[in-house]
Amino acid sequence: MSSREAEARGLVADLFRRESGRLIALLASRVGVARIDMVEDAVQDALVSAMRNWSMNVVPNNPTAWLYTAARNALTDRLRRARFEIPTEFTQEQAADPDNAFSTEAAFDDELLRLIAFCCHPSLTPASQLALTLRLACGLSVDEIAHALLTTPQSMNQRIVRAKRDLREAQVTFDIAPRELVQERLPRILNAIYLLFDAGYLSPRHPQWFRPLLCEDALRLVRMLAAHPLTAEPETHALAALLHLTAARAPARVDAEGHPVPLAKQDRLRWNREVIDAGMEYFSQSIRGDAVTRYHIEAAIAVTHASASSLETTDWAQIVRHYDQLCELFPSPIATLNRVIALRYARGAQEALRALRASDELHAVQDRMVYHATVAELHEALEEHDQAAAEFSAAADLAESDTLAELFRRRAKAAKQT
Amino acid sequence: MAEYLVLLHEDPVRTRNLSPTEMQALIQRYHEWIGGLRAQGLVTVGKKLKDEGGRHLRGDKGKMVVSDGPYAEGKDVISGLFVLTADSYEQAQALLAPGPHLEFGWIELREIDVIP
Repeated sequence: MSSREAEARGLVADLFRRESGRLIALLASRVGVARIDMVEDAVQDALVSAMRNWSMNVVPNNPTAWLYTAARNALTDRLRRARFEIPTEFTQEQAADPDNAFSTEAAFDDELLRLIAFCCHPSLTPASQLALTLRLACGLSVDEIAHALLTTPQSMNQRIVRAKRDLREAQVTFDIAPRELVQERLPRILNAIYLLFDAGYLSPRHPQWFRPLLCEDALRLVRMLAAHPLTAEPETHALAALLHLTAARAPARVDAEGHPVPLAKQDRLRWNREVIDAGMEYFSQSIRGDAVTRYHIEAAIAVTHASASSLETTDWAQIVRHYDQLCELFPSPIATLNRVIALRYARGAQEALRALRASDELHAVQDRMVYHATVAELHEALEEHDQAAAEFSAAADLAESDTLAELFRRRAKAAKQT
Repeated sequence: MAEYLVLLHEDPVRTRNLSPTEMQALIQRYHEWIGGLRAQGLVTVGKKLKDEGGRHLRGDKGKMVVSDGPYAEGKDVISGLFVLTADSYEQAQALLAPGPHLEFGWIELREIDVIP
């Protein structure tokens, strides 16, 4: 291959981010997770070195193997400089041909899985589990995580440093019994992935309300878990189904101006069929067995939406039944609010508004943008324009993203003029 | 036409703080920049230097004294070099301006002297 061709070939999108997580996982499993800081530094060394080298030269034929060798060498240097003992298997591997010593895809997923299980250790809060997963397994920098989760780099850094210190003091290692992994860690891992997807899919407080990169990370992780024999549980498939069916709508949910398009107004021809098919397949895998998790019910709702060619032909009665079950088994204000929206289509806006007013639970979300936006939609459907305008204005005031605020202000104005 | 030596200096601390995503995006931008110059036949030699800082050789009473160059932790290291063909300093500067390098370091530009 000529140098020009290799240059044109470039790199697979997100290669650095993906490899960062996998290299940290692989090296930490070799030298012990107590050295995780040194491993992170060595992986950063390798990435910096690759950046300098590949910027001036061509990208090597096997970039992944190149990075692995560079990271392993950097780690050996750092261990030696710190006068730490270098594990013999590590030095023996040095002598081998780098391409052959390079682990297979499947082995890598094993290490990555153990790294994620480590990040989701039960001694950490869900917020710390998510932050650590993003840092170690997803290759986001502290600044990027702070940006994604709406906090300052300083406090995010503190959170991550503290989480790592807690795990070190508790002497948590990568060794975990399969049973413990599935029963104790998996629910936490799935929750972290759910939060990650959620942060990317719609963040009312973020300047960018939709961040596909975070959603793609969540999809990648859940796909890996669904394919891994240890974690291919029904609830993993249910989450995979939910996230795929939701992500499939992405092309239809942003308009030409970058504003969100509500489900009711989406052009369903633009939904990604391939991703829907994948979601449907995951869903059929998820209903083997008796488990009914939150993800199962939410996925069932997404399946009902994905099966309908239009808003009018959607089986809203079925969706209301799913929300009834969700509210009963896993009550939350957001579930109740979504049930209200489904009620509007199943039985009319009047009934939906009645249900909304009758719910005590919804008092807790009266200061949220989504609450006021929902109420506004209901008033609009009932042609109560003044109330709709007031509620849209309230939603605009609570939206911290300029895009969303502008959208609601526009709708308030339109309602007033009607 | 004259030839210019282009030395890419960088501050390793600044590059170290880049995220994986930012680093990968930078590779793309360097390729577009240097690749574009190369495609026009304006780059004759392009080399990336190793990251270890190299050696400094000095004389002391007729003997050679060898020391390590600036470590990667140093403030200013030369990370790469190439030879650029241009009419003048002004034209060379114009060719170098669109590149991403100045966001992370600085460029030393020297005309190569040719004995007529």
